[in-house]
Amino acid sequence: MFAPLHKAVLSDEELVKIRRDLYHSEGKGYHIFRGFLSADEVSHIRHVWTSYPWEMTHVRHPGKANLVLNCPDFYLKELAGSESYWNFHWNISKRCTFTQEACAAAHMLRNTLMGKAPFFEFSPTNLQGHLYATSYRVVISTDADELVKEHRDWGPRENILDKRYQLQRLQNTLFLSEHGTDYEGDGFYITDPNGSRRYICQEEKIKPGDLLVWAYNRPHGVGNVRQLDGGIGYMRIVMPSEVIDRNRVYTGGRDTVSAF
Amino acid sequence: MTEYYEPTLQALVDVAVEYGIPPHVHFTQWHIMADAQFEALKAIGLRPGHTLLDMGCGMGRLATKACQYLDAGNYAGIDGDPNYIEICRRLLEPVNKPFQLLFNRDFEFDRFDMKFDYGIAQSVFTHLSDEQVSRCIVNLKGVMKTGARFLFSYIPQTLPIGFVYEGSYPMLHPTHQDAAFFAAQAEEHGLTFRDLDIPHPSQRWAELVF
Repeated sequence: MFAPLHKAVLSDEELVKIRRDLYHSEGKGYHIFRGFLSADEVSHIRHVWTSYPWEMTHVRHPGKANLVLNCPDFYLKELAGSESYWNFHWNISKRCTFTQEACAAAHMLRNTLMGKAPFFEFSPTNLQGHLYATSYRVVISTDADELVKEHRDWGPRENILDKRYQLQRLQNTLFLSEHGTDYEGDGFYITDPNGSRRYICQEEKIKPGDLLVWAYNRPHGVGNVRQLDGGIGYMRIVMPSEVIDRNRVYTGGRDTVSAF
Repeated sequence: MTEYYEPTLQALVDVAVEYGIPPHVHFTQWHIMADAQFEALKAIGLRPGHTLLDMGCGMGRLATKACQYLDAGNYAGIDGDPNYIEICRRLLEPVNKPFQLLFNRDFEFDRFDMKFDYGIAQSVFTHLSDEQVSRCIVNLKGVMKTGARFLFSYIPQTLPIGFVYEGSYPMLHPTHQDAAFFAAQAEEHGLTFRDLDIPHPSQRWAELVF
């Protein structure tokens, strides 16, 4: 097993075709990289994130207002039947460096598709006076009704010059489970311009290890899910850009150095 | 007020991705930036009977308005990206007026075979080295009429900024030009430089008078 960084490289022809899928009015609004992770790699990731207590490697989530540069990786029990691990690339993952490398590769791939530099938002990046940094969030849902209400991201702002209105923004969902085997229910959907919901995992027969890259501006959400017997539930890794407090830095009790 | 044809946001995205270009923040700010350029040119005297050189025309942000405003054949656009020129050509199809477009990175303005009353370079010098700016001005002298006004935008700074702009566009060269730089260029080439008090969304307008 080795880090899939080579999977972040695309030819010019692939770039044109995939961007058309993602952004054109006749495109689906998403693209699937089938088998981004192999079966062994999926098996490894599923094991390390579900077999050990969260306290071994993560700190309880302190709330979004406390996302600061150098903060540790957090654990959040969102609902009775859903939990997530919020991870940042400024930490060397205590839980699984392979997961981190795979997500770094997926993020670089996404950056390339967006027309951004490969390193974009690995560390906090200024945008319209706010700091954004990408994260990789391992989410495991076993029993939940509407997990994420339908919404859009990076959409229009009141001020047309606000650079946070970004049509090129894409989201990554790295699937680690299979509908009909690990879980049942609606799961993830993207809403078409004509208003109909497309349940991607079912329609596209998504397999564990498939990477879905999709247009973040499109309305989307996650419906109900139920873990199936013998299955792991609805498990995936998403990679949102988190807003980072620009006024504070986590030192973890270490000595600080006054300004140079 | 005259109503001008303007491409929709989705039309911009659709044409751009056919050439492999992902949507950029410039797309959502397309019309506001087009208006800023168009109004600034009219403020310094551009009229339909004048000829206009649009240096760094890009995908046609100013071109779609300028071509409709100017008399037939009075618009010429030049850009260093061949895909942008083709996209501009596509977006100008509904305008149904003759114009000239040229993909060129060597400031060969004389290939248009016409002289210009006005010129504009919106955020172009911000992508050029000092030597390129100087070479550009030399070539402009060959095509701008006496008394012609060349409008340009710049960001006053004295430190070069990096090649990759906001983690996105690769710039050709880092720029560090301020008013003193342009004033010195003007003096060297026998022109007049003026900072202008005309609103710009993010940079500063100035002009060179030939």
